[in-house]
Amino acid sequence: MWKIIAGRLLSFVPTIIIASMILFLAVNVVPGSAARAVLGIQATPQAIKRFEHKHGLDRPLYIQYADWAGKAIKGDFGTSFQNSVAVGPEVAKRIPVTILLASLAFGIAILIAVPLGALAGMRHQKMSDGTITTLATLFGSTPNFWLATLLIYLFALKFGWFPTGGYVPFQDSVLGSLKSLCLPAISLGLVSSGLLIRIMRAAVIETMESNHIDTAISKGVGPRRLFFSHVLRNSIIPFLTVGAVEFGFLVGSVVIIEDVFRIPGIGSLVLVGIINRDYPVLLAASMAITLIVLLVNFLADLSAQLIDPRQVKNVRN
Amino acid sequence: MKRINWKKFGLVTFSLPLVILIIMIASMAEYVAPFDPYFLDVMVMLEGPSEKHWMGTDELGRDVFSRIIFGAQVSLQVGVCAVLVGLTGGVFVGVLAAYYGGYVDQILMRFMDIVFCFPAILLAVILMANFGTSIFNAMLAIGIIFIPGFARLTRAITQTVQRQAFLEAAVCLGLPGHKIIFREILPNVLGPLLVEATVAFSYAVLLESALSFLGLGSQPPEPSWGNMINIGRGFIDQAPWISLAPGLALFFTVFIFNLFGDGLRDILDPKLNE
Amino acid sequence: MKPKTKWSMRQVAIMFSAAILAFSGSTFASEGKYGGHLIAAFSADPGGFDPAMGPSGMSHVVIEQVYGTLLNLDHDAVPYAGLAESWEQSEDGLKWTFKLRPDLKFHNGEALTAEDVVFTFNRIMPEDSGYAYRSQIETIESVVAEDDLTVVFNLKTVTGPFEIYMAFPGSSIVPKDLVESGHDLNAEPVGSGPFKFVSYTPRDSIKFVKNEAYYESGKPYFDEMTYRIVADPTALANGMKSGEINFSNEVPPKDWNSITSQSNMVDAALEGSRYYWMLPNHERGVLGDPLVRQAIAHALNREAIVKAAFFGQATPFTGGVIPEWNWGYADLDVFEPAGNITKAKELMSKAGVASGTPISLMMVSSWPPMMSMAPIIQANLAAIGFDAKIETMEVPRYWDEVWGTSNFDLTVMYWLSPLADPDDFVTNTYATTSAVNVQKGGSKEMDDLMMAAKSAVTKAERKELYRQQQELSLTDMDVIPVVNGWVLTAHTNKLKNFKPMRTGFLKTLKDAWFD
Repeated sequence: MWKIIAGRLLSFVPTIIIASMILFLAVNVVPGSAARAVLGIQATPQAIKRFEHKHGLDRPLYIQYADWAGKAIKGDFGTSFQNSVAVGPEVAKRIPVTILLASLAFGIAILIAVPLGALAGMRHQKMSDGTITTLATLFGSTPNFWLATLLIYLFALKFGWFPTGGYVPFQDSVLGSLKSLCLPAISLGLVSSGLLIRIMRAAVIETMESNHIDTAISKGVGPRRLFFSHVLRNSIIPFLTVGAVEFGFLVGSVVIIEDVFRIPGIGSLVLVGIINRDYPVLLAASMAITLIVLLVNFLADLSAQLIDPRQVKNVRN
Repeated sequence: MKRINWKKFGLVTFSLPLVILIIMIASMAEYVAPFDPYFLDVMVMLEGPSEKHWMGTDELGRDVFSRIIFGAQVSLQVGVCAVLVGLTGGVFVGVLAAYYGGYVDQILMRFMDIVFCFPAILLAVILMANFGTSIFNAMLAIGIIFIPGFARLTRAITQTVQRQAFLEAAVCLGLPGHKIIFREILPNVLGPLLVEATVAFSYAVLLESALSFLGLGSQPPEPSWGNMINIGRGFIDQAPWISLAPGLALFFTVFIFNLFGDGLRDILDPKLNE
Repeated sequence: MKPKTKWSMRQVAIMFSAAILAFSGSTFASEGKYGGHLIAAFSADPGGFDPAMGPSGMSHVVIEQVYGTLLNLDHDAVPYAGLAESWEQSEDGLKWTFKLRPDLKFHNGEALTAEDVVFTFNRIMPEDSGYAYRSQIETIESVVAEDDLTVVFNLKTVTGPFEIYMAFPGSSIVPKDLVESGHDLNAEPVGSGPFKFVSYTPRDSIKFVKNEAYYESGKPYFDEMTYRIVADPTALANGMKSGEINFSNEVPPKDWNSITSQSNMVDAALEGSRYYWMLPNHERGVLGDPLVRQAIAHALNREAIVKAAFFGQATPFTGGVIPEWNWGYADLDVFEPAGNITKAKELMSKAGVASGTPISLMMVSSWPPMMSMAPIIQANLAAIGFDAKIETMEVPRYWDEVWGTSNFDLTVMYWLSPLADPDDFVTNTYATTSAVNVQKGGSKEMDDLMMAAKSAVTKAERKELYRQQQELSLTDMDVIPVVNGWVLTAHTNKLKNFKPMRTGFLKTLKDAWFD
């Protein structure tokens, strides 16, 4: 088992490095120089030159990367062009917020997907199966930013049950924190549930069609309990693999949702970085998001391999 | 006698007319829309739905309904072009990787895997900041994001096809490399690719709207669903129809095309749906 | 040579009332109530808190609360005594002497003396200091401390706006010993202002606490102050409506009516100096002809722009760019608010411009007022015979690809003048050497006029010269003035005695209290 873990880790590290290179290249080729973005209308040629020299932007790209990477490993992600504040601590403070939001959203997605998917599977080929499958497509087709706007309009503005945005830190008030994350989590979770409904449904159908049930019944185990334990066994691997990919989509989508709801996570930081051409911020925030997605995929993949390597191959195709 | 399972055509039969309707409305926007999407009259700004303006007017007095129809044109254009870009790039890479195998395969697919790992929106946002915000660049950026997905699919299917017997027959007959690719491999890849393309199309429409919503796609005053929803947000309490109506159109379009994709999957390979 | 001593009206009034009170034997009680927490909302992050660093406007709103300046501006932009209790200008205008108040202290307890003033200016005067507003202080030859409480500025040329410059946040006095010991003012400002800096949480808030030892005894009134940073204008508006935020001078125009119609809100909108002007690129075709530029200026329907882009919260320019509230205003009634297409067309035919000449209007897509006024301007241009196209670009790219390289036919820009001196309104746009002059206009005549106006000794002389400058600007039509946006300030009705400032700054917060 340790061999598998070690092997996976070995391929994980170069992936991160290459990903960071790609991001660095992408970010630094962004036109619209950072100098002008910060100085705006007061950007005289001397001011621009001074700015670029101060931040080392006049050096060749590979040197800039080496410098950045070297510092990044030690945890120093530079300072924001905009407000001269260290980027590392800011990103570190925001990561838990994004993870909380993404986890809540994913939880909502599972809460919706499991019962609906199970129902669809058990009523396979009947009317309700088709309805639920169509519902799954409906959920998956929902534009999350539009859903967010609709939810804000109805539940925040009209009924006043939730705040229109902003985030209450978890330490300050658990209830307040959950309330401020509720609408954003629904916007994200509902859309993700679409795919997860299908996974659940497929697992249930396979369980029903397999032979294990007959064998188990002959052994004398209660039908309901064994049914659900088999469904669990069949669904865990697909949920892990596909769920990890879906989680990746979700984390990417926080870039939009955090902006709409003004949640101070790393998603909104990415946008701030782009709009202000604040390279250190953009780089650090993008790196953080990518790292989270890679990590989740890595862990899910690893767990799946450890649990049942055969099924992993099946689901992949 | 072969029994044709007519049930599998159900979804396509239902969604195809709607798909065609959307495409026709979008292509003939100039004839269908009652107003010029750029024509503004500050006197009637922020008015609700009425007989004259079916979906009301926006913050500059423009007809929301007409702008939604022209927005459809934008969305569909981007969708088609993005998918074409993705297909071209993806198929090229996928076939190359599968055909040559070995190091070529490893390097290409490794690179595709890494790009695939980046969340699409993150990549799209950074690429758009890179290229500059315009509809054309949105097509390019979204297309690039699709390449790994199509490459993977093409490679997998090509490998399956490669293992099949008739390919060996072709090799025995002495057909040159590229002829094998075109005559034997590609036709078998087309089916699943078509399904994937439809799904990608819907996603492209969604991504384009998301980008414009963030201000990184088509810019105002161009009528695009994304930036209409975004600008409408500022007026959500005074005039909710400005953002809710285009959103509904977006939702509907993506849904119908996804249903169509599901339907195609039903026909071409029902097993995939389960 | 008899020096002219300047006593501000305020000082005379105080002496007078003090005298009366002394006679009547009553104690001079302050009217305001103490306590309370002001929560103000702003849309941008500050760039740092060292007055020498600038240039972000948001930095200045913090700097003016934490630091002190030799002089302050009141709400009508009239200078009065700040750290200096009196000041005088020499007869030839080349020497300014400031007498500091005794017993001034920085927030860390250290004394503020003439030494600190000299240090402050020597820090920003050198060419490589990086100070963004060097143009204000480049006429200073030297700064000398005659004794602990007397500072003398020796100027190379007469500088009309000198008092205004001394009230500018960039001229804030910094603690010499602290800075020399290596303290980073940019991260943690220490000054002598009405409020002490407590903390800065990026993209979230800046916190202040009352300076109990402020030299204006009895002020400020609030216990604490928080500047909340809310980047999304809709969120800002919502925060005001819900009461989380009780003050803002950045209310989005589209929400102005719904916020001020609430019974617990006070409308404190003021015409300031947030002016919008259109830049015609003098090197592009017909735009090099002043007649064409005049035609465009007459064709603009400024009334419609005020309604559509500013929801009524702006003043159309009818003549020169110096607004009516300023002493430099010249009542030149040249433009009709709704535009005069007939006159514009006459000018176009006089210039011999063919009908259907293509022209492009490049607007910044990130700024809603620009997007709203674009179609109106396009229609106006079309009405006088242009085939006008709107092009858009978002902000960072715009600076690089349009502004910096003057790659445009027509574009529109806005400027918040923080100085309230006529020189600041005109020099940046009209001077041939100005970095903001991307329209490639300007003339020696204009430059000379502005230089003379800036260095005239008396206000009356300057006013006449600015009148001439504005008249010239309307015949040359280097740039086309559009509208002057108002500073949209709204606050809770519990806040009393707050006088909004023409400059858009918030120094007058120290005079306000909660009921």
